[in-house]
Amino acid sequence: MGKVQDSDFELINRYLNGDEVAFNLIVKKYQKKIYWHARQMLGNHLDADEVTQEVLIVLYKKLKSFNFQSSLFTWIYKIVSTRSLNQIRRKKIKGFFSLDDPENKIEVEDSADIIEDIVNREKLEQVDKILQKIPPKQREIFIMRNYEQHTYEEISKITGKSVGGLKANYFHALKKVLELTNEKK
Amino acid sequence: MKKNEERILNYLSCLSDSGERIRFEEDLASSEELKKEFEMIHSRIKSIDLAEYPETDERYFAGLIPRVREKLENRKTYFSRKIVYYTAPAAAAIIIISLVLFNPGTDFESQYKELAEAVVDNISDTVVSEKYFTELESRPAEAVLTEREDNYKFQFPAELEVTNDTYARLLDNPIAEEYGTLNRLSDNELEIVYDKLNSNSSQKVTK
Repeated sequence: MGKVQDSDFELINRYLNGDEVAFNLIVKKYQKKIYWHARQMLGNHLDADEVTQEVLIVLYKKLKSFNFQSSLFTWIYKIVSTRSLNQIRRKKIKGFFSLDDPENKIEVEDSADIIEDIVNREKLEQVDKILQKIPPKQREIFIMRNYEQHTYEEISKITGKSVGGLKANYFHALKKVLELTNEKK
Repeated sequence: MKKNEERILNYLSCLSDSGERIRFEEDLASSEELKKEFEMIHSRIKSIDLAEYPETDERYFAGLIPRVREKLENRKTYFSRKIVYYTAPAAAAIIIISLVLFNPGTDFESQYKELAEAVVDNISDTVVSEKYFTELESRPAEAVLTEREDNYKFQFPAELEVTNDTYARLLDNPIAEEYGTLNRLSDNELEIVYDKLNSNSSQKVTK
């Protein structure tokens, strides 16, 4: 992690000194992590794409004010986490006022997916269906623990929540997963 | 089968303290039932795990930076346009208000008077005749005169200058005479009007 942090700080310094290529390198390093976090939080490609682009725009604009107090990785995850939760809220509000049939909407969104392999796509769809039924904050912890392998301390730095609170949230997320996988059977 | 679920989930989420964890691990090693239940729960949670993220179309990630940069450019243009949209009318409003409030040369009263004089000087006889005499002819004169009494109390100033023959026509009109327009003028006023008209107009004024 130390080496990663050093190379991140070096890239940021290069970017702050006007080297635009350094920004491209930062993006290349983190774009997949950003995308997949958003994708699992939101359950579809279009929303994940929107959030990913927004995060990169924020990164481009705010990197100048990066204070080197936390790692770039934590800072980026903070942005992704906030943006993803905001997108969920926005969609809920839109859905509340919309007359569209949500079933049809999912079909349209799926056709724009970037996963070419059908088997993988089906597996991901099954996972998404379950994840989307878990409340967003519990879902976030579940994703960070199970897919991104973050420690509670890292998640605490990203979300700003206490480790105890995160553990409780993860407990409820696991309980919900058990209920949902039981329903499936 | 759900007997130990809470305990297992407490263990998996690290909610249990170190003492409870040790006891749980000891029980897990000794109890077949607990072991079975633990494995079942663990496998169900793992069933929605992904060994790794699926392979994606790399063109998407390759095109991400250009799209982000394009968006950034569009936003810059949008914001500069927005600034122009809001600044131009605001600047115009500020200039107009400043001119009105702080221009010492602005004298609305005198400008208004000038305008009024210009209108009076240039009003045609036809307009006077059509507007006033037609009204006088079409309505009972007493009513009109009562209603506009003040308007018909002619106060001819000494310096009055007649620039057209409106007054002459007014005084010469039989209807006006009939309804006492001339009677409302004092002898002195009538004299002044008569003299002025004689010197400026060839029209005959009847006393």
